[in-house]
Amino acid sequence: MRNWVCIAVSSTFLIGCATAAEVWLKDDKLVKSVEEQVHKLQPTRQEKRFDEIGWAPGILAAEALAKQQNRAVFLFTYDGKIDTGRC
Amino acid sequence: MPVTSSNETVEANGSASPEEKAERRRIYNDFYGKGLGVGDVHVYILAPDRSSVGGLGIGNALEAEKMIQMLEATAQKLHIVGGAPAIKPRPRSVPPQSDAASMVFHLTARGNRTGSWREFPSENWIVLSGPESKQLLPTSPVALRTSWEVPAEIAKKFYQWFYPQTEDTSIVNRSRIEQESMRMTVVTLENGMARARIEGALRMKHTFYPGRDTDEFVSATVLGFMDFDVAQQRIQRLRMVTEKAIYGQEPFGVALRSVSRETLRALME
Repeated sequence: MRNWVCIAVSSTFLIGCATAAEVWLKDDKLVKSVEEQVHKLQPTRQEKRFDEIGWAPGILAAEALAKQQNRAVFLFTYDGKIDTGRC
Repeated sequence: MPVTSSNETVEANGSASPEEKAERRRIYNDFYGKGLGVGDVHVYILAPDRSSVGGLGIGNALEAEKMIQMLEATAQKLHIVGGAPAIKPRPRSVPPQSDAASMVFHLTARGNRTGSWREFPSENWIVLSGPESKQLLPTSPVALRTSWEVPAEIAKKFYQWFYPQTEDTSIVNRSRIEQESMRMTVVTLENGMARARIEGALRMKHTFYPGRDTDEFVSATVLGFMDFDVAQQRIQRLRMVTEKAIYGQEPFGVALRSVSRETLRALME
């Protein structure tokens, strides 16, 4: 009896999972060609090397860490939003 | 300790704290007083005790050899020993906070020229609220070839950023759309899911420099698709790219993609 209960519970769970699974339409010619263009325009790893630097959140935080760890402060000032290249 | 500081944030009405603004001013004044060179777009080097050491104007800072030479000389002079980053590196371009009902889109734009303003692509994060994103969907029953026009105020949320890298010193968008269209047509309908083909066109004025009334226009055609759950009125994914896009005389490209909640969570970690 206990086994039947387990099977029934498992089956209900699996049916639930299958129902909840997201349905995706197959990629067609349009999707493939648009996705290819999207991919081509994305920032490259080389263009994102800026993200490999551990930037301090602000000047005061940078100065506090510099003092604590005996490091120099490299401060870059700029116009706009350098994070997104709209600058 | 590397740190960046946007000039707008330290202006009188800028978002930086009063203490941060005061420190930026102190650094500028100290460099100026000591004749070490100053500039709006500039590299300033400070010793661990906050004293001014030296710097580079943006012209020289763009030359890797000069930058490396200056950094190595500074490290030697200050007896700085190399080590692991004090702060864990993380992506700088991150999506803004948004609620679960909203949709977040990422836009990349790049002009075909090379040189200044073209070394890196531009990015934008665009958020449509729940009710706004619903306006991308059709209001009539969905069948194959059902076609609808996206409301102009929603299309504008995307289109206003369809321009290559220009001088952007403010977060305020200065684009002026003169003509736009964004039409969706259902091309696939299977298992309760629909795919709409997106076709659009745009003519927009966007001056290269803010505050200058020059005649620089974007002219573009757009192609894309949107997959959505018909019954639940839920958008699964949306992609758009420029087909033919010209800014002034320069061809450029824009890609717009919806970002899933899972990806957003991963980016925010």
